[in-house]
Amino acid sequence: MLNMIIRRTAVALPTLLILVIVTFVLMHSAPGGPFTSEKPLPPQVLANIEAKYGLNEPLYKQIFMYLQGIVTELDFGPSYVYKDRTVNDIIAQGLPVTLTYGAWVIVVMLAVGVPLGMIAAIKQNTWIDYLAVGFSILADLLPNFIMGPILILIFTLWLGWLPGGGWNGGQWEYMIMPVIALATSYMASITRLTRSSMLEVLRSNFIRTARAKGLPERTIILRHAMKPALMPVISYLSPVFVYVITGSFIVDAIFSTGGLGTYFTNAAFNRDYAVMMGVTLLTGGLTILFNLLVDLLYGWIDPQIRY
Amino acid sequence: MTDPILSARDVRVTFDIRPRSAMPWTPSQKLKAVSGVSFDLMAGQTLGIVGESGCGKSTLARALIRLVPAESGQVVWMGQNLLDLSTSDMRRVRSDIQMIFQDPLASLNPRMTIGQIVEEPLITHHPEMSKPDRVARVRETLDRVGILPNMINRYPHEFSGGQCQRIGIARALILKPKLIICDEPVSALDVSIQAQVVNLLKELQAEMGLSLIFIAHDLSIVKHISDHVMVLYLGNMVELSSSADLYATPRHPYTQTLISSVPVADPRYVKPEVDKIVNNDLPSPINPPSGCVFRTRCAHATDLCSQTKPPVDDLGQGHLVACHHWKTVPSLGS
Amino acid sequence: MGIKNNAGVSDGSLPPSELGVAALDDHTLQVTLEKPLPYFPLTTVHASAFPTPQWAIEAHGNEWTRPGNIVTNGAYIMTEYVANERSVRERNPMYWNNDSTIIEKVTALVINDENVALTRYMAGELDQTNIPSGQFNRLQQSNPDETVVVPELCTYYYTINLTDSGNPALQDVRVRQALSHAIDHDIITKNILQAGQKPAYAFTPEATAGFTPPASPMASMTQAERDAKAKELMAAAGVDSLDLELMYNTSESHKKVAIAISQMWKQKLGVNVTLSNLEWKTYLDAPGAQNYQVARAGWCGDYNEASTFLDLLGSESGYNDAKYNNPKVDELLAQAKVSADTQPIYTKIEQILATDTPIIPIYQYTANFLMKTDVKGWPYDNVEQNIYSRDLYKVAE
Repeated sequence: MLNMIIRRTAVALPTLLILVIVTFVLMHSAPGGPFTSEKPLPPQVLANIEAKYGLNEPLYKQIFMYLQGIVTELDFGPSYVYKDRTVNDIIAQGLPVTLTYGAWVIVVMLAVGVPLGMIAAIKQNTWIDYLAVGFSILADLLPNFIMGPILILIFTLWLGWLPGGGWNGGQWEYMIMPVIALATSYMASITRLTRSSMLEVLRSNFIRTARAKGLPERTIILRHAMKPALMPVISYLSPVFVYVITGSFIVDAIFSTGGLGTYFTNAAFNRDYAVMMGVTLLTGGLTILFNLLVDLLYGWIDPQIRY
Repeated sequence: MTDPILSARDVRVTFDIRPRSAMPWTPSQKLKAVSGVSFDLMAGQTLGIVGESGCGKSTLARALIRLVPAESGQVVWMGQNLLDLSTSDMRRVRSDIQMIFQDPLASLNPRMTIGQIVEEPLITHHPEMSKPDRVARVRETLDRVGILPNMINRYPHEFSGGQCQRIGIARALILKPKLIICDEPVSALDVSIQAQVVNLLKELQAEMGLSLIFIAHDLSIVKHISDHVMVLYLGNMVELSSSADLYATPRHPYTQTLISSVPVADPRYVKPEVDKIVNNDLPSPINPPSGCVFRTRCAHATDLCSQTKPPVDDLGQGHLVACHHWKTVPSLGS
Repeated sequence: MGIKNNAGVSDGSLPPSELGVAALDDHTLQVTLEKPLPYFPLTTVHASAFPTPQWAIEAHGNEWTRPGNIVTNGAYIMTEYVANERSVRERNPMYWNNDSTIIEKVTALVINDENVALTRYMAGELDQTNIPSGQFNRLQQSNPDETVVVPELCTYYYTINLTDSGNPALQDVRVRQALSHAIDHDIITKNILQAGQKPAYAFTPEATAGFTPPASPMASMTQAERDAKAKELMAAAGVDSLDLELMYNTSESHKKVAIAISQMWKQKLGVNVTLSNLEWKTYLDAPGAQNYQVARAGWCGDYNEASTFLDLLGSESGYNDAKYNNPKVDELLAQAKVSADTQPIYTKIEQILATDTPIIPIYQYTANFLMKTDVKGWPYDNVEQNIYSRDLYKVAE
């Protein structure tokens, strides 16, 4: 196991390096730059600014300087758009926001999706099952960019219960709607995944053995069926974790939460190179981390898997 | 004659089948997996149940201990009808009746060590036992079935099929049951291993006074271990008799076919002529033939067979056969 | 702004002390210009001319604009700034005219989705917000008192590449005029944009102070007459089939306008138009490099004087994407810089532009927004949209 962690970490570094280089090259090959605007700057001023940020250097040197900054000072560079902020500042401001609502999204989708899927499987072909399946289909018909405005319409405009957006330091009333909007479709997927894998597990031979042992149904479900039934859910979670934690562009845009999600697209549109690099690296790193965690979790759940 | 330890009367099991494309309101089809089977099992004896795949033998076995619900009938275990018991009473009975299964590896939870697997019934049925006592019992039981107790912390996938079946037997034995239902316990194993496992079961039976129900699809295995053998066809009992009788004088055409297909390890042996099965397709249990269920494949079938279901005739000494023409069907080898 | 030695100081060839700016005493700033600029005072309202203390920048480096660091001399102090979420300004008790400031605190919320902003406005969370495109008419019906439309100092136009990299047919002025005449401006403003915009027949918007653009001959014609003229011009130019590429930056409303205009050109002149839309930053590069045939553009004045528009078409202008070069226009522009009465000069320039057609003005922007009726003091006639919270107040209803 330790061996695997070391091995995976060793592979992660070159992976991230390739990610940096590819992103850098792609970014800089797109036309325009951070300082192109409808009213172009005088050439001399532009040259001065580019010199200040080192954008006048050849690309390989910029990549090297960027990596050097990360390795020596953990400095991910300045933002060219939010000129009083570094990428570290932006992540420090945006990540806690998305982490907070992301954590709630994960809690909600698991707390609702898993039990619902299990109950639906245990009570297959009863009204509870139909209700759970119906709910998950409905949730798929309402993706978050539709859910968001509908929630605002209901809870802000009609009922007047919740503020229609903003973050305000993460007070609960600002968090409810983003969490629901983002969690619903994941919840639906998890319900369906759990249900189908639970059905499969309940039909498996070792569950039959457990029944023959004379174990109570509760023990059979919790002790024998739950873990294997959660395997597909766990592999589904890894990318979802990363996506939810780094923030949803749509949710951040609709609810103006100030989370990290908006920076993904905005940084690309603005050619805010270092911010783009920063969020790409963050996502890449988290993806590698969560894949590792999921694999470790797999090993814990299923002793047949050895690393 | 003593009372049987287990007696089944007219047990029926029906499944609702819903085709994949079915709408919620379309009525489901009925699959008669077991249609009225009766037998008695004496303490310390072995009943073999044989039949082709899909004949309902496994379903019957599971219905006996309510792993699948029976539609009707009685299963009397030591004086009480199991099919009427409450879930909690039934759970208590389950410590007396254990089951082992066909696929030894898949039947063990891959996420538990064999120690945990064998120990678990004790935790459920004997919560008063202390942990050291339980572990001692697990080691003792594993030792008895030929698994070294130092393997207790290994996972099922680290064992061979034969070893897994021994673990399965240990798991069944740990509660010191009175009856073990063996659902094709050796079908998935190599022939050499099959004999070892069957011999182990025979030894255990002799030692512990166990009753066994032994299910198999080929008669040769059953012959070694059974006192009585029941032949099932499409959910119906076609013949039941003592093992010796059945092999010597099978009366039902289906039993004769089965016996004639058993390979014999003697090059000089000449197989007796049997009327071959007419049609090799097993009819659908959703829509079984009228009258005698075997008639579509029987060389002796007459109009009578399609009109009425044959009664179960007692030939004496507990030899039962369900065939209109058993008297006229030539006996094997004659 | 034409400050003396600006270029030299920018490229480092002159020390900053040589810049034509000096503080004579605590209350007097002296600006020396390269050459006379009659509208110079107008340009000082632009944010880039606001004073900033040197010591604050030196003390805080890149972080000098953060709340707590930033030093300003306005009626409000920025007290909170969360990027992409909100910024908060509160009364500045040190402001020279603090007694006249009424509103204590102003919060600006960043709402990326205009429709969500509208919902939140309707729910009473906001006092003022923009109107999402396509909603103007409906809101004017349902909330007439709160729906505001004011002219903006901006023009929406199509620029034509006059260089060799453009479409050769567009070198012919008659083809350009024909394209211009064939556009039904009223359909664009009334049927497509539907938010109070006015058709533009001159580059300088009518809202510009001190200059009334001349009535272009086209403006007084009916569309039928314009269409006839357009066909005539095309025939005179001898062009009977023309394939054009029309470029715009990705946006739903630019697309609608482009589709409408391409239809007009197709139906009336038989011109086949290929539409190409480019993501914003990509789009910014292309016209500047004359990498286009016809491109959508927009310009908003930096100060309220016609030269902020017309200078664009001087041959030396960095923003002259058409690469329009008319010595007469250059001469007139130079003349206007030193003239007391600019009206006749600008009129002349607009007339030349209307003839040469290096650009096709399409419409004059409007700012439209919703504002609660209890908000008073809004400077509706400030076409540069320099809105100061110190002027606003709320009345009890």
